[in-house]
Amino acid sequence: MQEWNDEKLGAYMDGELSPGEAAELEQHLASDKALRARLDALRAADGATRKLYASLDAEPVPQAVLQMLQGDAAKPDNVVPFLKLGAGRVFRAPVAIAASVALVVGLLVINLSRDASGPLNSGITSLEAVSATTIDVDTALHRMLENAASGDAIDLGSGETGEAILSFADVAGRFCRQLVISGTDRDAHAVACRNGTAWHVEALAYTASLPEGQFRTASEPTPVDITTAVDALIGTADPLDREQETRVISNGWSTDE
Amino acid sequence: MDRKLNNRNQEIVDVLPNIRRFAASLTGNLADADDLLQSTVERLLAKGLPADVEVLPWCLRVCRNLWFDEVRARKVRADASREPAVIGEQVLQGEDQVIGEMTLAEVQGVLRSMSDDQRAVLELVAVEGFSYKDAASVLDIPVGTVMSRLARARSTLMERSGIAGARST
Repeated sequence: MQEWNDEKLGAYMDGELSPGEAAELEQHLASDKALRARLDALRAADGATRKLYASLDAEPVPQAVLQMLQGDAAKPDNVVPFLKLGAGRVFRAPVAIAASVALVVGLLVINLSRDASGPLNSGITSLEAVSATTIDVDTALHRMLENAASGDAIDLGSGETGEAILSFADVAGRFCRQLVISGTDRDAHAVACRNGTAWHVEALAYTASLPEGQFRTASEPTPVDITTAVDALIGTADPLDREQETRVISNGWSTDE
Repeated sequence: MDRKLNNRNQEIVDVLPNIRRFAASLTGNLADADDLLQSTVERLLAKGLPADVEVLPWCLRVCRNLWFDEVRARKVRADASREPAVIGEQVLQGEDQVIGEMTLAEVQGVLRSMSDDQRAVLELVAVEGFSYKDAASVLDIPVGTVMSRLARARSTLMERSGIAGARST
């Protein structure tokens, strides 16, 4: 009988088990709550480690190192920020180094699951929430869809980061959002549309997570199921621009002023 | 950087954040990591990048060799009388910033308690996304050792930061 210790669970998480072993483990996971909890804890440990290391990217690289690579002995007057290369997804935008320390600290505390407005009771992760037909209103993911602007990286708790990619009105007049949730070992790409006050998941696809040091770029392919779903829903209309989206969000996803 | 770099130097610039994070996993703090990063870049520029190698694993091997063969012994002697800083200390000033179920301070504290061997393998696999085989190559250890060190590092992180799920047998 196979013993599913931390080494094996870690190998599963890292994609290092054989297909046969992975299938066997998945069977056990389906029926063993303690094993699932252990796997979740391993994922959380990795997610926390990635975030801690990602925070180093916001610190400026020593001038001496940059000068060596430039082959230039001339010394610039100021410290060169080093956000362009390798910053984690949450820290994508290049910003002035003067603000970067505050930015890092600020972003790390954007944690919707511990929002001051009250604890969330669902107890499920955002990757779990998006796998349902309707996104539980009592989740960080629902709150992100309701309130976050497209392009803003949101810490969803449990080592997950979310981002709305774009918003649009579909051919039936519903508001929809394309989104991505970055988990510790996989990312979920989805399209959700708002029916009444609920967000219904219209399309869902998974990809392997990017290593923390890599950017998610605009040119990175979106899973074809997602682009197909967006194309079908949006018809010939355009996505909302920033101003329209801001207005719709502040109106609670209503077109009534 | 306003000066156009030659291609080989640009390849090193492209992986600087990766080398730096790996260096931090070895040294356990950013100040020493930047010293190790500088030594690594010096060595890379002095010896050159071979044309037929993958740049990142090559750079990390140079970094690893410098640390274990030259820098660590000197640093251990120098640090004998003082408490070393921890990864992220320069950036993360709060004690209660929450990452998932853990605070940054807890993660920092646990990483600090690990050996450089354990931190390095955890960084390569969990942060850089290396396969066990590639991590083994960078660290010059067998794949089985990667697996066991990784499991120990993750277990330590879970147990000491209080997020451990029930252990399966």
